[in-house]
Amino acid sequence: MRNQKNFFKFGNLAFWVILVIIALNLFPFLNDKLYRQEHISEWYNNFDTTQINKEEEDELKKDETDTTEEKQNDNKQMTSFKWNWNDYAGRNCSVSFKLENEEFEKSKRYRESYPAFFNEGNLYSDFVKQCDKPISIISKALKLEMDKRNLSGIDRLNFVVSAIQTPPYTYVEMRNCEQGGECKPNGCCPYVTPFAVYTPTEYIFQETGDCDTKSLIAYAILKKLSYNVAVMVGDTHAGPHAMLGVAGFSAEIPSSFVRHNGTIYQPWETTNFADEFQLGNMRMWRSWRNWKVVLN
Amino acid sequence: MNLGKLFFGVRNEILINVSSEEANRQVFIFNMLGYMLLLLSFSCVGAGIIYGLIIFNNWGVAIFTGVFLGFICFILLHLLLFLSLHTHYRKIKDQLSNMETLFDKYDDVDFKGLSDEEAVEMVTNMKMTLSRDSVKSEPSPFHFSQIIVSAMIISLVLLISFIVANGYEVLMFRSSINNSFNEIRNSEQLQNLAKDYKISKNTTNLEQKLDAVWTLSMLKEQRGKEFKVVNCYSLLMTIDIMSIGLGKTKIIIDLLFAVIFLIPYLLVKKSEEFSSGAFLKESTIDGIGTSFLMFLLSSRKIQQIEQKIKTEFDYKKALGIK
Repeated sequence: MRNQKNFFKFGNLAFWVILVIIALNLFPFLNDKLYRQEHISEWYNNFDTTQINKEEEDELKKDETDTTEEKQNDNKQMTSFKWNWNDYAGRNCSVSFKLENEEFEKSKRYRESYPAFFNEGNLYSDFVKQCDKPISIISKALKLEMDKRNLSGIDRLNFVVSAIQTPPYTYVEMRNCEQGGECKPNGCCPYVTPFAVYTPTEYIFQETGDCDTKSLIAYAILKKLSYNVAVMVGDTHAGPHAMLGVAGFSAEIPSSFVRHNGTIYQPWETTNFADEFQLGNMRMWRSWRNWKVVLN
Repeated sequence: MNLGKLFFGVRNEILINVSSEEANRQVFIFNMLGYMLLLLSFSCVGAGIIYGLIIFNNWGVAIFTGVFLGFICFILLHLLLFLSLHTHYRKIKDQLSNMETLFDKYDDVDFKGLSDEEAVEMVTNMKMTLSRDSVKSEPSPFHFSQIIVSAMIISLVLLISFIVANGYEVLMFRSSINNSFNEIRNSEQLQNLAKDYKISKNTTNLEQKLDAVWTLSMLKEQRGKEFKVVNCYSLLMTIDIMSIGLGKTKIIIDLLFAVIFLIPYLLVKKSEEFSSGAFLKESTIDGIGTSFLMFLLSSRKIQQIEQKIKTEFDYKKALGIK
């Protein structure tokens, strides 16, 4: 009988002890050491990208060959641009540059085939990388103009941002334009996928842009000119919105700012050109919530 | 709460002929068995909720899944425990499995004048006689079917235990698993493959590109379908990543779950306190007694009706003979 009781006693005890051991593992500080994060890289390293890298290299080589051939070809299709605008000091500003037509087609194709499952941060960063050549050309042209005018400090920023702010705001929609209008400055562009944003090159050619398209090109140009800038997204009383963030400069009209990894970014509304749309002023928005940096 | 009574029917009136010490012990062990069964069923509910949250990302559906899984597990485990409950008292066991031997003894007995009280007294005497029996059976002779039945029961219990173990492991290591998912989401290999699939028309390495696209789509949170437990929509991928991260530790945790699911079965099967215990013996006798009482009462009724037909029914009139 004693042996009989012992079997039940030990079985019963084992059940509750094991149960307590399992329950203890529910505490993160006890189970963290059991999980090996470093093993995970082995899993995704099984994906073979060597073939793709090779393809990219081949494409690059092909591009280089094409460029050389194009240089030799005098029939290259180019478009000349001349931007005229006024900056916050009321100065007449102007800049001229030329871009290959092919850049527009390339950017458009790139945007239209861009995978919709990436987040906005990746998309913005990829768009900027894809438009490197046109951005370099326009940045160089703007820098030459600013140097010619001996601009420095905030005046240089005002010069670039006011150039982007001046073309009228255009609605850019992923679906049909409910408000109507054509796809030209001051109108509305329907079915722009993904995320209803144009690449910087498309903006240069069409001058059609809403908050994120304009913020993105301003970011790309200022980044090329070595400023500490960011694209920020958040909510206003009118809905989700995007704007430019600038670090290292005091606000012209202080109101709100965003802190990201210890850096303070002053917001800059890029959708329109007006005195109250200077660096730092967000008082035109009744509410200003959930702002964060998505690209810097 | 007396779960032994609720789940296994351990009522005090069944143990009335047993010493109070033994009766208390029997109540205790069946009560503990009841708690084990309840706890394992609740753990199935928890695991079901976790699976429901990963697959459906909806609390309502997840709770329904959990309750459904818990209910199925409760019924299955309850059934398996009942299938394993056998008394070792040979005579009583044989009697219950073949009641005809008992009924044959009363073939020629006249029950027409048997009162209810006399029937109950006969049953009580029979139960007292059986209760005094203390002959236990020898171990059953080996038969291949025993191995098959035991293997099926153990396989079923292990299957349930592994399902529950995986659910709880996901819950235990969810923060580490989410870190792994972040790492995978940001891995250059996957991003490049997915981008290449969408942008380039080149079909080289297509299978891996499709895998990469699928993986990233599983890890991207969709509006209205927010992640609840882990940042992934695929249950199998979650278990795969967790298995890689845990390595051999997962086997140990799985085994711990398997052990706690098997303990109730082993206790019922191997502990003499169950098979040679007073409850199984007395409830078997109770079953025999009930069958015997019904036999007596039905025999009395049959004999009374036969008698009535013989004495009161006019066959000549029925046949039209004057």
